Amino acid sequence: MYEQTSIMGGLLSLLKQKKVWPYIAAVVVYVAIERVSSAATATLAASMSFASFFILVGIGQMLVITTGPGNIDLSIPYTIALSGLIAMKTMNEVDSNIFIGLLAGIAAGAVIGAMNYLLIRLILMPPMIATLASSFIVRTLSIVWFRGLQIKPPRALSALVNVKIAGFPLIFIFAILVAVIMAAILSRSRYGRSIHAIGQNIKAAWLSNINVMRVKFLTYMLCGVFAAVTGVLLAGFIGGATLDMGDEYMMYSIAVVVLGGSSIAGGDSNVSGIVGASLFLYLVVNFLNIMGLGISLRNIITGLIIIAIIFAGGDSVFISKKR
Amino acid sequence: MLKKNILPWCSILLVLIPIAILRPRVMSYAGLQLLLNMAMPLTLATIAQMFAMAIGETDFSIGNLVGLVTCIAGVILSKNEFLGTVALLSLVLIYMFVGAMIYLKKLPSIIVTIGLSFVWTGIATTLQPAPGGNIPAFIVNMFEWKTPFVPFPIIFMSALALIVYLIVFRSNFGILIRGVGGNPKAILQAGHSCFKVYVFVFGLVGLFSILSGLALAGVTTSADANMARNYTLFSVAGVVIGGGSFSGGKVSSLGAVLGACTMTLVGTLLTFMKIRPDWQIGAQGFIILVVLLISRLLKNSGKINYV
Repeated sequence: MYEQTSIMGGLLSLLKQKKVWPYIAAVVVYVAIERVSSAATATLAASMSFASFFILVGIGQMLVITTGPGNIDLSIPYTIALSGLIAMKTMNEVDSNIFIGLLAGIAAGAVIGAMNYLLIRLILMPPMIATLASSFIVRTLSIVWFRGLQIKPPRALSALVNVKIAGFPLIFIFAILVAVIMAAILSRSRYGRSIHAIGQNIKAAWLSNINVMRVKFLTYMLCGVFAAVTGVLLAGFIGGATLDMGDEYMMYSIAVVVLGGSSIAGGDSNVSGIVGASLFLYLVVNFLNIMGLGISLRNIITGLIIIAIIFAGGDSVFISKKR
Repeated sequence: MLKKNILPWCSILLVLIPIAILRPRVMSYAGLQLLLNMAMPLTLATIAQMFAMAIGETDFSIGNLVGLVTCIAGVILSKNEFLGTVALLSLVLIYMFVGAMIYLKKLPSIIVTIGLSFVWTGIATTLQPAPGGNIPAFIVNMFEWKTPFVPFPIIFMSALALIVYLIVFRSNFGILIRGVGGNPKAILQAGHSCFKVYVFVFGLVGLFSILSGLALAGVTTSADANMARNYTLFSVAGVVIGGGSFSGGKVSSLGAVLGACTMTLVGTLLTFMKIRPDWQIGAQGFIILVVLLISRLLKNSGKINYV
């Protein structure tokens, strides 16, 4: 009797943690996929590959969101596109150029991130506007420089991002590794504590001698870098960088952060939730694909799921929102 | 009133004067009608965004909703007026429900509306997979109205600014809206219901977005789910240029109208300056930044150490 209640209690306290829900939801969707599809494990592997991109982009977005109310990076889609394009152009389909191309892409992402924060800081404009306006400029640069062409990756890069180890895609393992490292950085390092402090009370953080400017500058830059890495890997994975390859990441990057249990008001981050939320969202996409639904219905259902989960979550998590 | 709106007036003159110099003939009855036609739908969408921002929320699905409304107008309203009206009104009800949920469960409006934007575009592309459709004649005719002396868009937008001004600044409800944006606790202490304000304001956001969609369908005579994608950003930018703030409580109806016109005219100006279409969207982003920089310089007082 005793034992049973403590197990129940343990389960209940586990369920109260917001980050557990995406994992439960992901398992439910996977079971549903197993019911309707004979190639469920292959679907799972494919979902993991695409989920890795959500994870990487989501972590960047989460860092920005954690720095406080209103902070958000809406330039992610075009950062993905531009850095992917620049990287593929630098690689020029030559295998030995992969490393330098990756660096070029990352540099582009870092520059865009830095520009975002400079706009926010110098013009004191809301991050939402600053990052959207800068994304317009980034998009124009991609159009003007690359004329909407698809630029192919070197063969070795495509091969690398498609490698599977014991059934797990290599990029998924990479994404998990990054997530673990970022979780450690967020909870243990000075930088991680600084962004939480800034997100909870920017004035108190400033008064306690945290260099707010430097921390936020670094955060926006890191977000750009995460988007850039995603851009390079994605270009390798889908067989070429294109202008619109990042389009869906604006919505999904925010969705995985919130579904993963981070507070949209900032000050409270949750890396492991992002992994679960990414897996869940991509499994849903694949499930709807298998069911033979068109893009329109897929959009409707994805949207409804995001809203339903947020409605169901509510209260407890967003308590810090000012009202 | 004039002093408050000095920035939006400056920014619209900043784009209107070069247009007048480059194309003097635009400054005629027919020229202005053509020039400002496309400003009408964006103005309505900006007013919708203004209501959301007045209570400190942001609607990120406006562009998608406006696209959906053009599709409803082109596919349902043209065949069955009753059904079309019901569809449009139910959108308002959905918005009121969403407003209630956002308030009751303290949800982030950005995320909820991002979810909604998927739903709107999904429904819209189901109704009208490719641009086209058949917009009812009465909507088209309304926006081609040849009013005496002053072009219809100018009358339309002046009337709109006045009506919204009366709602926001001259009615008890308007005081509540700005109060909820500025200091919700004070409104609660005074014995009012923030819940009701949220429901009504989101109803207004839905209503004005629908009017915007109908206006866009009327002006362009076509239904297209993706036609208004830029409206989300442009409406936010229009409100900010017009003197509104993200934290809520501070809005200007005339400012929002002028801000929306500026955003529309920027595109026209770039075309007149023979700037390649490739560069246009970037140039628009750049101009938003410049206007915001000027506005910041105008009202910047005191040093801020942490942002």
